[in-house]
Amino acid sequence: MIKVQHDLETLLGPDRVATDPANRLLYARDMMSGGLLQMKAGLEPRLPDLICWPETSQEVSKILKIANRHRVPLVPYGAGSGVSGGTNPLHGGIMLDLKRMHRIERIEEREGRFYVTAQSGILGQHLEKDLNARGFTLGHFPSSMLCATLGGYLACRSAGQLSSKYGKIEDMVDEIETVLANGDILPFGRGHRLIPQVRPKDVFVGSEGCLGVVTRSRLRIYPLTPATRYRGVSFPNLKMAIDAVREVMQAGLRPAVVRLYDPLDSMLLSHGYKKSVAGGGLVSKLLKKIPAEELGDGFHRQLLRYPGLFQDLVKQLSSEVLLVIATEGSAALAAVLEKKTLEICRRHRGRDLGERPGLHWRDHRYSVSFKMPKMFSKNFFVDTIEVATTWSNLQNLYHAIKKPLERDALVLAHFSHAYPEGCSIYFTLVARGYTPDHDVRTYAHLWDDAMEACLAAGGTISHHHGIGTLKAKYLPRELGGAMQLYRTYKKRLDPRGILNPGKMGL
Amino acid sequence: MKFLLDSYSLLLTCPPETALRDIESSLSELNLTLGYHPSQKVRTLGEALTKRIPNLLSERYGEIDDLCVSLKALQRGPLIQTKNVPRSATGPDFKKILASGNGFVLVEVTLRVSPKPEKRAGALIRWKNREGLAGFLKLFWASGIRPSRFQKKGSKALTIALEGFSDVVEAEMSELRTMARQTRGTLHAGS
Repeated sequence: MIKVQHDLETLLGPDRVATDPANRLLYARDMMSGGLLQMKAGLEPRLPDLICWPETSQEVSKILKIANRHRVPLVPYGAGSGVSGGTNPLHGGIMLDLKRMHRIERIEEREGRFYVTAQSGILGQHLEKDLNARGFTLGHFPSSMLCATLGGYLACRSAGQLSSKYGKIEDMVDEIETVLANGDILPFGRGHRLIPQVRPKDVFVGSEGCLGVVTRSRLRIYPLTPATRYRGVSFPNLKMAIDAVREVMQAGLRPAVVRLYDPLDSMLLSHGYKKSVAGGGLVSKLLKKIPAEELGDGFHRQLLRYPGLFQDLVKQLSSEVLLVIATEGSAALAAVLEKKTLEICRRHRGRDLGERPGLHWRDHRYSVSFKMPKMFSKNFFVDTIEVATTWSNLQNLYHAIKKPLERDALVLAHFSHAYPEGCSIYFTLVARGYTPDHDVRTYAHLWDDAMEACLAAGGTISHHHGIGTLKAKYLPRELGGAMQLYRTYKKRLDPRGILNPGKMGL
Repeated sequence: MKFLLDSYSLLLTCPPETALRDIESSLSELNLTLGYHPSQKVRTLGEALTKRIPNLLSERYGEIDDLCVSLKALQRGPLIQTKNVPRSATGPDFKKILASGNGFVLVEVTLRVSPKPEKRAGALIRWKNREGLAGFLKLFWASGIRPSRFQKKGSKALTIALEGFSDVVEAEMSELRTMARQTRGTLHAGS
């Protein structure tokens, strides 16, 4: 490693290469809940040997040549907000932090549509803010956008809260520039002999840095919309609400926001905006005791000792669910789209709750991520699982995953990222901590139960968080025969196996 | 035509050698459409996929490989079947890789289909200068209009096709007229 360090310092200067223990520890893990539980249990993560900060694609190319020559592992790194262990340096080596590659290079009109070209290290929030200042939006609002980079979005096929209108990141990307393991740079519009006839974006987007390093991309953008209208709708049960959302999406209305909460999540949300849509009396009294920020007192610890019992109680008391929608556009068109969406909802016995639930969601939409550390500090643990399937299979998948998890965790779910042919389900698990070792085991079996149930029920094991290390062992069953193709690409493009080794089952 | 329709998820499964004309006519009987209007002559679904023939209605329905939700293919080995799911984050987009040809033999394709629109409308808008069109583009893409077809004609004209619910299409048409007026364009409506 000394020779590698010397070569990198010669290339970048000593200020852009770090080997000190503090930096190495900071880059040792991402935001995966399991990583935190492992650290609490005294399981120290593998540290990278060094971190370096390139500023141009040419520097990335030279760094990869050095890593390839010395056969040293290299992990492309954005802002470390991943939740699947995708950037954990399992074999040490070089952390390639791309955050100094943060330039917006160009905003342009091509054939009447607008595009931005930016380097991969730009933070999502900065990209959006800069675009807004020029009158545009990317339309991509993942809850991690304050601490995730464009490269991270592309690495694991991220989805934002307005995906029903703007799509996932892979729908927005037009071209990418990629640096291969041997240092070759694939510029925009250029294929490669190792992946003949295939567009580079179809191969490298979603490959989590295992096949190449995406250094720049061109993405579709839109001028900022003048009006957004928010609405909440309550339904007597989940099935009716799913039917309504399906019809809205298949009719081509594409509201910007579509978020349907299951009965328990609806109760918590309605408690949040102080308007009950889900039973009164006992439930409301119970919910008054559950503000997430106070989870930690004896009541909640007892509650989470038997999460299944609490969930059975909720099922008996109410089946009502809440749907939050938003429509965007000119004032007139946003109103027409809202009217048509509400018409469909009414046909499925939806009850218009006005704009308040939608505004509450808008105002708190990034809050939940910041409540998690507090819960960990109070000896609970939390994680999220995001899966997807077709409309025909959606309720089956929801129940199949929820049932085994309820034995050990409180399970909330919402249905967001809706498409004409199906939808994703986003489960949030809250479990009571016991001892650190016990929690590590519980965490592992919760994930095993969820993934096994998902695979058996025909869902995809990840809609937008990616695979990393967390879901790597399930990927061969997820992909079937395509796993062999993936391994073939890995061997062709990275024959020495230096790029993000140990991830995605490759 | 041999096909399987999931009428709840609106997914059509058929062999790649199926003629596009047959797909559209079968769907039409069910009041559905594929939403694929190829920009050049192409006979079968498989040909459209492997050659990635652009869709003139791509702004609303996507390109042909976006319409493809899953597929089965062979390549010197076991059958590769991608999952029938709307989106995933489980590695590269293998269905797009398989659809590209590249030695794969497509066996079966599952496509997203859509309800036939209640109404269709179209417009040709001309400006006397490029600035008019440039101003219009910003207003247009901010307006929330979701055209099926959007095509620049030189540097001073556009053709736009709209489809969907009647009242949405009428509202979109009204917005188009307003925006054309604001940017000093001349709008010729059609169907």
